[in-house]
Amino acid sequence: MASSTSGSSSSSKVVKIRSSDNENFEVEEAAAARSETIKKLLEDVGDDADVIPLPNVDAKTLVKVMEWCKKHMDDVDELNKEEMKTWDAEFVDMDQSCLYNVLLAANFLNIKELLDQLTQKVADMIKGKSPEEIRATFNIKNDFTPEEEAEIRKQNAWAFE
Amino acid sequence: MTVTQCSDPTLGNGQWSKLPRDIIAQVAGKLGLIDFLKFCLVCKDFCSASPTATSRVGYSPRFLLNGRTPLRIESWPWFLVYGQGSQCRLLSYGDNNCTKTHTLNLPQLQRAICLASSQGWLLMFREGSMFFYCPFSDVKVELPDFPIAKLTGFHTAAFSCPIWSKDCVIAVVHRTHGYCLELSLLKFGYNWVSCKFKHEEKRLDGTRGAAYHGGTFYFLNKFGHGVTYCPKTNRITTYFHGGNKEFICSPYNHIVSAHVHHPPYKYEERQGLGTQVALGYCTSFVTQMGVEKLIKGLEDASISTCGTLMHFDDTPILICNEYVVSKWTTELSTAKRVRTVTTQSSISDAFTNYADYLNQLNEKRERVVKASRDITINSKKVIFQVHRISKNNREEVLEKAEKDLTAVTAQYMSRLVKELQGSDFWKLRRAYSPGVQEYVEAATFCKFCQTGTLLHLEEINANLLPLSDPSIEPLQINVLDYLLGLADLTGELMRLAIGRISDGELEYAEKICKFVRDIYRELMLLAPHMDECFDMKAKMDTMLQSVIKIENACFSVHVRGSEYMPLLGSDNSSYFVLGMPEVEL
Repeated sequence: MASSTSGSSSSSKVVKIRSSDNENFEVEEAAAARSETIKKLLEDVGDDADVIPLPNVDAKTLVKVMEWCKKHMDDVDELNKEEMKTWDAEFVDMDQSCLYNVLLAANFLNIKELLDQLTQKVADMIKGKSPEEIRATFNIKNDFTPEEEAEIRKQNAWAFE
Repeated sequence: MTVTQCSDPTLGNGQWSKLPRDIIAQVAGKLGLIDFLKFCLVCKDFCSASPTATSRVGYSPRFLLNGRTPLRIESWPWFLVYGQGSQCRLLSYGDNNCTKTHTLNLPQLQRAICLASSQGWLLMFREGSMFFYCPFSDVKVELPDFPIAKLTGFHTAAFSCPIWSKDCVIAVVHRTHGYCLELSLLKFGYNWVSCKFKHEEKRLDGTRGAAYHGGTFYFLNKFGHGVTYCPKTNRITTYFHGGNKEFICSPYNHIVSAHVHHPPYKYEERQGLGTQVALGYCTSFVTQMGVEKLIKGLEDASISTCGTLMHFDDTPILICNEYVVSKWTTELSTAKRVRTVTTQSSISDAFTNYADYLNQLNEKRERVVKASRDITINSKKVIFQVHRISKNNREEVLEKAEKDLTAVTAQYMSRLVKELQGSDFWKLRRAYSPGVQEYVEAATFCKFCQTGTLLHLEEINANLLPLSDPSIEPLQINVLDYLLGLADLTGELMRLAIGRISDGELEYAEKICKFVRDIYRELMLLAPHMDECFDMKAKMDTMLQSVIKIENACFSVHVRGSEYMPLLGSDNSSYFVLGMPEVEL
């Protein structure tokens, strides 16, 4: 998907990025620049940029991130706002391992808006759940001792009614 | 794609909890308070990442009518009601517009006043000491003592961010007098510094709310005018709807090094500097929300609120402090949706104590008045008993009178002594004074009839001593009451003298006359020095009348008696009466 982006827009510049598993992608510069990290790198290396290596992001995740970046490449006008919202909602609706990886990638690539949407997604998944349910959902081990847990529960007992 | 249970083998145990802390904090920041607290309980990593998170209630648009335009608000502040012991109530707004009340135990808030709240932290003030307090983590951060030990209620405060940040600045503004404002600042790592500045602008009167927004403190009055203070540029600027005037404050460092509590403040006025920042304000938010109706038991309570900053859509709105009635304080916080209703409990406690004391004193006064009346009645009975004296029954009448008097002392005076319990002698004097005077009158009257001498104050007081508990200060009849009782005594002696004259005991009457005259003479010398005692003047007049009456009676009997030739065989004493038409019986 990512490599196809190069063909779709002939007018703008294309940058090459490489995922951690050594797959190369070509994306429009405007889309890639959504990532503060890439933008900084591009500014540093100038026009004669070769492939930008992204050692923390694997290909599968990078495809996802670039999909988002492409969509959010241009500023959205009022008309498309609703449409964009729906698209975003669908976009973040991914399986957990994917979500986790995209979240880390967004953090590493420093894409604030995407990070915001993803953390919101995680928050939505947490909302209304008990601590046990949250642990089950995210497969998290409870590392509190029973005493510690009881202490915290006691402190804010009103919230757990 | 749907969300499923984790199936990816790479997402093993605890993978999620190993997310970078700032991501966890971001997630935590998007949770509502209750979800946030549950989130903290999931695992240690979540818990430790969360202190830096500012919890936000999730996106759930609601509408608030502010008179004209419905404003959509993403989330509502919560109310934290405190002031009734350590039990606090938290009023939250759940989904579907329902409100929920939770009960929290927060002893830290007792007797404290909330000055500002933001991001789940409360800036508290208690008797000169200031501290940050987070009601949900029970974390308390002490701050340097505030230079002023007591707040007048005209203080408004705001802080930029909680204390762990180096950017933390706390600003307290209060109007000292007229157009003079005092700004007290506390910057991370420094002590309090204050500066005063004057303005000649009527529109800036009063400060009703404070907030920190976009790097600037705003202190606004109920019309939305006020001053702003920017910690970065260290500038104080007047803030109006329309135009800005700017005061230039001396550099912050300069204030620190000066370390003068009230350095004379110099400012220049400059036109056109600074940019207008759109900041809405709302003066009757709590009233509109009807918060006092939502929490049981607050309907008739007075509430004062500590305002905060809220975001209606994207517009920051400063919610002003409110003062719905008098006894309570309400606390609002946007970030964690905390609104606190608080009692300025030090004051209300004090007033409760005063009220108790006054009630007790009033009841005591009533009881003392009752005891005093009983003493009066029974003392009068003793006096009447003495008046029943005649030539023949003298001994037995006086014996009975003395017995009665002892009974009065034992029964009624002892009650008065117990009631006064070694205190309030002078405070309640007006309540027991009439009874004591009557008692003095009865006691001295008795004594005179028995021995013909004056009963001394020391002797009366010596009689009262055994009545009271030796461990406490005993009730002693004071000189004033004694003298007033003595003045009354003359009236009784006058009656006695007339009675004796009619009974033929002329010598006895003359003895009384001499005694009364002595009393009058001595008191006449004293009375001018008792100028604040109005009673005494009136009593001196009456006393003079009594003296004159006795003297007249004695004189008439003496003169007419010598003229009158007793009838043969008639030595009945009653004949004297016939010769005394002017004597009143």
